[in-house]
Amino acid sequence: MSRGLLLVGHGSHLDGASSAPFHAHAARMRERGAFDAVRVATWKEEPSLPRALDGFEPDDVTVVPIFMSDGYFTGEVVPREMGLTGRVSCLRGKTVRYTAPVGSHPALARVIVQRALESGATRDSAVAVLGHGTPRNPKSETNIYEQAARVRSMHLFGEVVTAFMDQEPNMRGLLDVVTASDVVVVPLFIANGWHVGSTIPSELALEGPETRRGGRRLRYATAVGTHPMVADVIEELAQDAATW
Amino acid sequence: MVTRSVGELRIEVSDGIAVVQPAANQAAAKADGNEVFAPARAIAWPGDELRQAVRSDDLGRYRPLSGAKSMPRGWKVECAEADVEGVLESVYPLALVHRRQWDRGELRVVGLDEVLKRQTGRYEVAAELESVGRDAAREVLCGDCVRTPVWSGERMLNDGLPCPEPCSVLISLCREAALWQTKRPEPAETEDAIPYAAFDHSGNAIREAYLAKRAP
Repeated sequence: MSRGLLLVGHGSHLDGASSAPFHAHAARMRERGAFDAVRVATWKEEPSLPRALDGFEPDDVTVVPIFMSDGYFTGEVVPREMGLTGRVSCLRGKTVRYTAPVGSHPALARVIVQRALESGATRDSAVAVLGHGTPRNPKSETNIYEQAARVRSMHLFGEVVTAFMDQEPNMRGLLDVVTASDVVVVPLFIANGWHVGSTIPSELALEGPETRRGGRRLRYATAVGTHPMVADVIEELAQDAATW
Repeated sequence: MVTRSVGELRIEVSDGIAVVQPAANQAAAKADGNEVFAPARAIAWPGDELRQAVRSDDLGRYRPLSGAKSMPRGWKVECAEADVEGVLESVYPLALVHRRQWDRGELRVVGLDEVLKRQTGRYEVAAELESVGRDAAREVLCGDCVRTPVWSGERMLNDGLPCPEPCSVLISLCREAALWQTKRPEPAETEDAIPYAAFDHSGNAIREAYLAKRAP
């Protein structure tokens, strides 16, 4: 039996950088050598999800969704496009194991902490875990709240709050809900794409990695999903799937 | 030296060493007698540099469709002959896999009707595109791609690259075209600055080509 790892993600028709983290994580996983083959497939780019297993030699393939939320894409689009029938599927002679998305794994909280620390967060800081959110799918917020709760339970920072780009509590009210003078915003996104690079800085009127406003300092981390430690999360998800 | 072409690339192999580069490198050099793009920038292999380099065209515009006939020029990869497949995989994902499966009669082919029918959410409306619109979308987009849409029954050439299933870019075009059935947009001049797959933007080259094809 040979084992393969397939990282699946969204990708983009408009932003060539959005799939970069998938390829970077795939390269890290190849270096670690736990799998005979590692491949990336995306909804919007190539290889596509429906053709993801074409010519992929391993007969036991673990599919890890590189998504933050457990929602429409992980629950509907990826299984439908790949023809998955459940947690373990038999597809064209292969055993295909489909894990939860990286965004739901407890180990991701350590990556959020690392991003906050890299941006200079201290015991006195307020850390805002900032997710996408959407009023159209109530499930999409779940992982954001759970990850923020895990970070809070580590008691490393003065405050840990949750904010969203596209639902309440909205990021625009962030400075009204935290009391610390030092605020670190950690975007719980997969890539430094359009939202992290443009929408959020624009909405929060950020001036760069650090913004001074009304006697307070607002620092902005890069996307959690691009951190090299995400490879640890992928590995844990895959190791767990191997026991199914 | 053995020379062959794959898509817009030319591959030269001599003594076990391969040079892979856009065929247009040579074409440009021949056109005016000067090596316009020479010396081509050497891209390291292995690594991710090549994949990133071919994701933008000569004007720096993102190429979401790997087979789009807009391969950037001015680069080359020198590698061992045995590594050519990996190099081509970075440029045209799965193209050689599908070619081999086609040659063996094992390529799984899925048509546009089936792909449109399974769409949900934002793309569900794409299934409403009428047959003549589906044909026009295929002709415009697939006509700009080095792959042969065998899913539509198009005949494969000897050195062709088969496309076994409509891609997400075509589905995206079908979505917009379905919406245009109820409210036909005014044609516009094409604008280079508009992204390749921004079909909802007036002036997008693919959009305007589609609208021209469907003009009354």
